[in-house]
Amino acid sequence: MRSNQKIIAILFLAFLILQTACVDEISFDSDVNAGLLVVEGSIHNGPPPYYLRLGQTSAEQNVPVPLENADIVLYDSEGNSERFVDDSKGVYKLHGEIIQGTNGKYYHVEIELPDGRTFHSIPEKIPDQTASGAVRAVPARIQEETASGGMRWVNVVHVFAETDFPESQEEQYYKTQVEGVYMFREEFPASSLAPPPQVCYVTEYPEPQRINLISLQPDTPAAFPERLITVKRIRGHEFFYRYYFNLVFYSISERRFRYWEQTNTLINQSGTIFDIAPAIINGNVINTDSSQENALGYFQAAATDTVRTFLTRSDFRFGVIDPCAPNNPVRHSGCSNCTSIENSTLDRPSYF
Amino acid sequence: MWKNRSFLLTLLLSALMFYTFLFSGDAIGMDLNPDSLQDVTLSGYIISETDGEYLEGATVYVEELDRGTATNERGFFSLTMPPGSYTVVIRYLGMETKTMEIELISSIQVEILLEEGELGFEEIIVEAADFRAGIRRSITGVETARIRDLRDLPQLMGEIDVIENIIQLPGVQSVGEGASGFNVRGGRADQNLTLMDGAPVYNASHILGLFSVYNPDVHDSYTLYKGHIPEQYGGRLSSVLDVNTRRGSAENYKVRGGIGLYSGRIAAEGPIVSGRTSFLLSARGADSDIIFTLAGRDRDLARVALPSDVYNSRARFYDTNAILTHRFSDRHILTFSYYKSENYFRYSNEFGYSWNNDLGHLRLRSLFSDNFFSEISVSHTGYRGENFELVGPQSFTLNRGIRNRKVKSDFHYLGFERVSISFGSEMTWHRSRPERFTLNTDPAVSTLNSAPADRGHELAFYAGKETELTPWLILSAGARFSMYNQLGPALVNIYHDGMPRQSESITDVREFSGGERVVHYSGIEPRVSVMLKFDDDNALRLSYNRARQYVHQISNSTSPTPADIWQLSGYHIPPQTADSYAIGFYRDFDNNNIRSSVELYFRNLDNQIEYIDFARLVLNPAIETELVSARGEAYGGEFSIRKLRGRWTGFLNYAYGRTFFRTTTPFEESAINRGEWFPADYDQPHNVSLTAVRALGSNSAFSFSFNWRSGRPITALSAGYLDQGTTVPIFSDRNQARIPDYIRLDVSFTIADHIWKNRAPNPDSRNDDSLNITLYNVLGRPNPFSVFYMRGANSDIPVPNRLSVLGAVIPSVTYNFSF
Repeated sequence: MRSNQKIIAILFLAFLILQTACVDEISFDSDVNAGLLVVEGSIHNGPPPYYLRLGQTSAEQNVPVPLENADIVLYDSEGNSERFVDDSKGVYKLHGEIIQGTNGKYYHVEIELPDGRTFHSIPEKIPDQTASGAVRAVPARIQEETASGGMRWVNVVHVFAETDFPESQEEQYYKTQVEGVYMFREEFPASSLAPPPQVCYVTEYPEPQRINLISLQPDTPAAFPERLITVKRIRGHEFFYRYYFNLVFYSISERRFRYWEQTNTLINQSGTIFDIAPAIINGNVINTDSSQENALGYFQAAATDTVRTFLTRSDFRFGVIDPCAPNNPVRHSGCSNCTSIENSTLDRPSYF
Repeated sequence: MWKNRSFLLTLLLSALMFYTFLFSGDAIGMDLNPDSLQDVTLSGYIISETDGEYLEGATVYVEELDRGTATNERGFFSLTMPPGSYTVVIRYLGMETKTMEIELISSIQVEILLEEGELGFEEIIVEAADFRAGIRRSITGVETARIRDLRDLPQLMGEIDVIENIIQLPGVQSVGEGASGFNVRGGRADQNLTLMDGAPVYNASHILGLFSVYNPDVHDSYTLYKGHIPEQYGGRLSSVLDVNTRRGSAENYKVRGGIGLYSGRIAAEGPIVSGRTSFLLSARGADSDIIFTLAGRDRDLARVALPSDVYNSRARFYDTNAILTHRFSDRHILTFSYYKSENYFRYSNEFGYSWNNDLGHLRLRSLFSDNFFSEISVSHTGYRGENFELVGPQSFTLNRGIRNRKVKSDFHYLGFERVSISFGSEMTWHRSRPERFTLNTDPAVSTLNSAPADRGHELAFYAGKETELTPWLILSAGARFSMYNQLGPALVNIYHDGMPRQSESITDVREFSGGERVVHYSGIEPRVSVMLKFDDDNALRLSYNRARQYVHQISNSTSPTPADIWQLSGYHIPPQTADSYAIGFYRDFDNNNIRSSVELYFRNLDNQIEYIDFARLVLNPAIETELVSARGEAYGGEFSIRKLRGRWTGFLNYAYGRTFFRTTTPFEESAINRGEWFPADYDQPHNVSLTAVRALGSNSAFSFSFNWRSGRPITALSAGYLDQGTTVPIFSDRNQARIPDYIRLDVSFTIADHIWKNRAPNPDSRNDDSLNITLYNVLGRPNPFSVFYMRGANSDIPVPNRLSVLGAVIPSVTYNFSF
């Protein structure tokens, strides 16, 4: 009994001293950043089309609202220009009839919004060279911690990359990224008179918040041996047909490299008070009329190269079920209209 | 070359001091006062009879002449007047007024003892109580209090705390519990000169601000200069907090202390040579481990029962003071004081800090004549801070620190009628400790910042004069001339003129050998104030002062931490400067029972040090590449009303203050918020504090305290956007949002032991033992200390989390004793 009283007193005191600290999630008034233009676009040394997405931050929602009816013109360093076409939902497409991405040339865009505000990007050069390498994908099982603190096994794919960087007299900046592309076929119609099912090609980023960056000093060629660069968690249905792992090498500008470094810093805040203080990430888009207005995002000029590999359901020890099979208890929402799947297209990639 | 010159100058100054010490006498005073050969001087000290402390701010009033003066921070006064018979009235709030009939034939020096006031606790002196002489001082924004007079106010962790107390004052604020430091009138925490017996303290907090370095049993009083900074102080822009230690009693042995839930302290004092030499020793500490040690065999149960974060967290500190005082004669007193502290704080098994202070101070106070007073001191301050991460293979320990050594001489001459003169000099040797980074997993892997440790010399001379031009107009005018040299060894990067300071723009590296002068800065710091006294109850004061600061704390975290960088001025980091203007109107009511004041201030700040976005400060040998110079403006108004006597006493303070910065770099890459004005990290516009104390009979009281402060600014995260599949977090411009307001209510009871022992009160009621019970943060409000960002398991971007250091009601019970 006395021991119980003692331990109760001790626990009480311990709580008094140490348990008073607390951490809870809060939110800020989102008006702080409302109304800012968000740009995501690029031109590269590959074949057109080139895309640019426009959005505007909003106090009502956590993702930018697509911005339509903007007038966007791409310029190159030789004085050529070509207008983007509004492809709906804030996506603008450049067909590349006049301008195509070429190594060594500078590019920038000028944007006029429906409300009259104008923006431009700081010109960027498509670098003269890019990296090359090889990619390998290996199914695996790993243990991960559950929300309750226990451990469980999950199926994943490990993606390994081997990279060679060319020698250059200038500093080189690279970002490597793994994209996954898989085929999704809608369910077969019950009637033979109905049109055949559509086939979509869905692009996803297996580990989107993992940013692989490399910078090289002048005259320092480098070869990175094979290393793990992405872990793809398996949902199941995406491997029913071929699933391509595209390893994209982006040779980018120093400004773009710093942008990704800063993004990486913010994403990986560890929650200790030793974290670098957060700040707004400045891209290369500027309000032409007012230097006092922020714009977010980037219009990038990059030299790219892609290597790829693929897996199919036969590469896994467990069975992969057709997501649209009649006997599948978990019917996929895209089975009736696969274009409703995010980042899907009916355009078949050349490598499929 | 410079080193030799400064050494010679110091030597010369020391020789002068030695000479004046050896050959001091009335002749010096007479020489300085040729116009008043007929006059005689009444001078001396006003001393508390209870504890032998010198009383600062006691008034000495000569009725026949309708003239008076107030004692200085050493309790000394001097009045020159024609020979004759006079009635001299000595007053000090909380003490009995003493009236003396004096036949003044020749100059005399006296020691006047004041007894505690008859009203005891029914006349409770609120914190920051100044005195009737307060409106006679010409300077604005000065607050002073005796530590013992604060004991009835609510006490965080059960202990009287100077820092916690001054945060209640208008114009003084903290960013919250857990913050190391405080902000005064729009100044950063490092812009406060925090002194212990004249030696600077770099980090005045224990356990992240829950205690301060000032032990209430050792320290006697504090003075906070938050508006006008007198010319004898320098090196900081914003304020001076001067806290004095007590002398040990040279007559009797005494022990006093306190034991509470969280900490314990004890102090002993007494004579070594009766009447001449005394000591005062103290020790104080708190340790969360003790609780678990007490658990004994139940420790395992505690481990299981408590959350692991709680069980694995640790907080502890200890500090010690040693003070030796020797009285050579009535005119010369030598005091040696030493202070040492150790602090350790660990959150779970994740991260933590440790830090320690070492201070040594030797001071000789001399009275050369009846009206010529000096203080010569030598001090050493050492500070080390360490932060560590304990998680993961890259867990590390990072050490930083700074030290300084100082020689200072102050002289005060009070021999002219209605004029007091002060002058002196100060020489400081600064040296930062090299930054060291060590991997915890492999201590052999230790990296030292490749930049040599900073070294610098700071030399200052000052002189000032306060003149009572008319009975209603007092002018105080002075100046301080300070100069600073950065000394080698040093490596200085030279950057391309038309480019921002980045590693890519370095064109040359200049190497300086040991002792070689790298850069020199100097400047005059005028200090002027005027008081217009309309009558005994109404006064207006105006002041202007300029200050320069050569030592800077650099942090890119939300609040100063124990391991922040202390950076000396150098080739690329010029001294910070501030021009401060203040005006105040002061009015007393009800026979000085109610005191009110309104003060307005404006402060213009130059060469402020801001960090660029995404600055990396750790182990950076070219730290200037991460910093950007800024201009700053701080302005505000303060209202205060205090009730000093009666059963209910207390105060209501309201302050409105704003602080903004704007970077001055022409390079947009380095500019913050595109070069626009932005609020400082600690900009909290509204600040209200209300404290009331109800006397409950002899030596017992009930009090409550309410505080409300605006939330401080923060860089907010609102959303994210997609870029190549990655969700990029959208943060605001710097400091464009605010964390929730700070609101806190505390209540406190102080009960004298005669009540529960059912006996008559001690005639000297101040010596009663007492029990203090405080409920801190009665509302249990989790006031935010900091907001940090961390990615959750299901989140692509970090989310804001509020960290509250004290998120619950904190009860404390402390038994204070003396015998």
